Amino acid sequence: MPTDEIINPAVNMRGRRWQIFQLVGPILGVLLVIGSIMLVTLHTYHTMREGAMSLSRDLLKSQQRYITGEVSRYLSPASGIALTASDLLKTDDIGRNAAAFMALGRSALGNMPQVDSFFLADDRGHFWMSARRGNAYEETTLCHEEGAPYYCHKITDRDGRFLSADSFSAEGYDPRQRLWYKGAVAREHESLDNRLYWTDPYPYLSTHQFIVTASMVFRSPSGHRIVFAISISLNQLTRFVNSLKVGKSGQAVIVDVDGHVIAGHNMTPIGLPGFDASNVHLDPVTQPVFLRALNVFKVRGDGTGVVHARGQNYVTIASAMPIAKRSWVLLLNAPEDDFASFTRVVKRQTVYFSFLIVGLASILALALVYQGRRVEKYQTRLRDEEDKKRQDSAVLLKITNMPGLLDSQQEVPYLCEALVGQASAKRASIWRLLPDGTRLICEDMFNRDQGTHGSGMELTKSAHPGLFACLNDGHYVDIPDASWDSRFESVQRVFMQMIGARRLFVLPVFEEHHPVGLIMLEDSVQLRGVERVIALIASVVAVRLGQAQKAESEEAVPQHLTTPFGGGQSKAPMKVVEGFLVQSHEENKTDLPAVGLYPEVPIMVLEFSEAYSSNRETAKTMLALMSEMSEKIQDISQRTRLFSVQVAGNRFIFLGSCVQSSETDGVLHLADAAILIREACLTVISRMSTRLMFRMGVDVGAILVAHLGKNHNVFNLWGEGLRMAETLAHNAPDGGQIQVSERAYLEMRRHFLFRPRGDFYLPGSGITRSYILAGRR
Amino acid sequence: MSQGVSQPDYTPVLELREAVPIFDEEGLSPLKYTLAVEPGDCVFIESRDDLQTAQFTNLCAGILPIGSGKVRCMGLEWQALDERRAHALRGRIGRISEDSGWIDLYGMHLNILWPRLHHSRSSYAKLVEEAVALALRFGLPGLPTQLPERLSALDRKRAEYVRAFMGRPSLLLLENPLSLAAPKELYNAFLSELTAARERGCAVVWIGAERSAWSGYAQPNMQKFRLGDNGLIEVRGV
Repeated sequence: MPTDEIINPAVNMRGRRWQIFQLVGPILGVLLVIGSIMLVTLHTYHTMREGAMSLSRDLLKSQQRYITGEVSRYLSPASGIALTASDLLKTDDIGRNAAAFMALGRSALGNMPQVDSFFLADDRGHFWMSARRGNAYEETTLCHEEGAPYYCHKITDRDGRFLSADSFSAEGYDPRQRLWYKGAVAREHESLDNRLYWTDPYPYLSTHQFIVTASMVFRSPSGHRIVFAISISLNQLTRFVNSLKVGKSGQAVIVDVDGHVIAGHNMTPIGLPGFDASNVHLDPVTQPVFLRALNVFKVRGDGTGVVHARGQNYVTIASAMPIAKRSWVLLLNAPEDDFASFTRVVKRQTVYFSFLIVGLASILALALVYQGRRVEKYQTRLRDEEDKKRQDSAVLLKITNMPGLLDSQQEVPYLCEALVGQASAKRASIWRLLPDGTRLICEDMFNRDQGTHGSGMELTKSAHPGLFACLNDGHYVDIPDASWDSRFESVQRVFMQMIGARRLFVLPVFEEHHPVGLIMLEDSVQLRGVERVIALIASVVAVRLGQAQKAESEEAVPQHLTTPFGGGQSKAPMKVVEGFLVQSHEENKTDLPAVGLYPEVPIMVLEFSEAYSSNRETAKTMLALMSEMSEKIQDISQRTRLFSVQVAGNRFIFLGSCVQSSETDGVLHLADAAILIREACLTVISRMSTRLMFRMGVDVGAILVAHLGKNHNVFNLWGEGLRMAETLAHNAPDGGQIQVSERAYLEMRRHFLFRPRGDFYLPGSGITRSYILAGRR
Repeated sequence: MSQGVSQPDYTPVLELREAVPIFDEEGLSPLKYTLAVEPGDCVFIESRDDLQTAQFTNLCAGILPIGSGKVRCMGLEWQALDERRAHALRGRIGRISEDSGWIDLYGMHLNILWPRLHHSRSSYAKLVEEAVALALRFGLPGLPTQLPERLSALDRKRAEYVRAFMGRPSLLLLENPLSLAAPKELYNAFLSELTAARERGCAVVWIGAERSAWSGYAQPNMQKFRLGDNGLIEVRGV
């Protein structure tokens, strides 16, 4: 067969594709499920993450609004008091203005801790200041004594009562040159809302405060400029901002657009000596998130964002401080995990759950594949069983349509063929129990390999007690190896060994609760599913065998013929001759039959097969076996009064009688001897595991009798009868069988049971018929 | 023997089991044809009618439809095969037919190689190598490249042998493979190639008009049949 074929016609690709689909389909299904789960998981994760982020942004916005409000409230005194002062202090009376200013200052300083000090100056160089000194209040006025400027301090309590006074030189100080004054003047023409000027934060060394000053200009009725300023300490703002909690670990910081920190963690050391609060910037190393958020703010303005830094995402929010200095920016950040960590947990749980589902789906897929294979297997089995049933039905139909199926006189060889075919057995045989209950005779057997039928073999109760016990028990027996079963060991050696069979199925056949026979199947491969056919055949066999038994019992046999060996009716004593197995008696030596042609002599030949072995041990065993059998043969021959028994190689030649006239007794003796010898030999053989077997042939024919030797005392015979008997023995279908010629059958049929073997051609004689001797009636 | 009793250990390469071809006015009679050719077997069928001969080989090759019965080739039933597999199975059959089926538009080498080029994966060079070897064995100087009509009848017959034996077929369906006028060397080459194929397990169905064509090769144990209007009749002792 070419191996380079493009298409192998022996392979059905449709079936193969279906098989592949059955295997791959579930796997693809599982992959699809896995993919779907992964997509759903991913989508769920992203949705949840977005939700969490949105929520966190909202939270941060809310935080931002809160902080903005707090900062506005913190800084609000600046604008509020400035506006009040603009209305309160714009008179031309300087003294009254100063008194009002001081009163306003004490009040504000007493109630607003974040307010650090107040300033009031006009374009004429007057200057007043109100600030805290310990638990009291310091009211400072820029006064001139002898042309030199002094800070005249007056210490009062909260109600303005004088406590003490002192003065310091204010040489070189001109309030109009201060930044807060100039800035306010520069904004003089702005609308009232925008008129407030904020200085950059700066440290106030005397109080260690980081302050920012807001100032506003207004004019007196006489047109003089008056600038009111208020300084607010940012130290408390820093503490406030630091105290804020943004998420779990978020931070807030207020910076200006240049990155100077106004309030926040960077300003924690504020107030400590050497700390320059005016020069604190966002640290790109430790505060990359704030820095990037600030940069984003510079580009996009207010808004939220996500910054990836230090291996994680941060949610940020940046917004301008509208109430305070417009260049101030509030920055908030918080790690994404603070808000979205639960989504990670959910994601992890979902992944675990997905793995669980995938595992279950895989198991289901495997189960599906397994189930698919099983279904296919069962489908195949169902198809096979359907085929088998159709075959069974055909067989049953054929059996039921057999003419004379229930007629025991008519042979139905198909029964064994059907058994062999259905059970795929090597051989099937039907055995009939003879009325004496001690012998089973083979009605028919069919050998599958040879395609031949056989019959006539007999199994006795004495040789095979286990088989008969099984028969009486009534239950079927199925033995894998009969050679190891003590009950059927002998059957295996005697019967099954011929075809090398081991497995034995025995089904006893009962008719009206009495055993009538049995069915044997050897080396059957398939007994399952053929019960119907076997049962039907067993029923048919039961009817047939029952009929046969009944007919036998009804058939009358004359008493004198049923007596074995003819009792004392034998007219002549046994003739024994020198060289024969049965030794002659000296006194009978002269009674040798006369030489010449004897036309009708009952003659039997027993031939041993497989009797030779080159193995010494086997040969020794074989010799012992042969010796034992020859003794039994000798004994039986004498008991049955045979005329002579001659040994020639592996053959025994028996003469029932040797007379010129025709007589029946010799034939009957010979037949009795044949049956006994068969039973004896089978018994001996069944005790040992050997391939040794024997066959027998019986004829009634012409022989030549001669006396040979110098003394003419060596009896010898040959002729047509001997040749026929030898041929029958040699061609007996199975071991242990006795094949009888038609002529011998005609003389023995009234007393013995036979089965026809068939016709065959004998050179010189033409077509003749032979029979298998089964047993005595 | 009853049905299903014996299970053969090997599958016949060709098996006709009571196959009844569909009758089309002439040709093969609509009778039951039964034949089994096992691996290495050579079956001789004497048939005087060319049409019946051709139709019988077509029946064996699954080309002629049947009404009942079964035709199996290498264990596969033609009726159960789809067209693709049936074509592939025919690729395992070597045929020599009466009409030869040469296509005169192409050179003989292509006519020889086409079946194998169609059915096998072997390379062109490898097929040419195999064809050349066979051609030399059958007395050609090499693989002929002329158009078939330009070749002599004898060389066409040689080419036919080459085509039939290409690809180590499992079944050979030979319609009148030998003419008595053929030179003895060709006769011997054909028979030795046939024997070699049989030894490889190839089954052979040799259908000829004259039994004398195979008389020098047939053995007594070989199956012999006569194909006629009364069907396929086994002939013994011839």
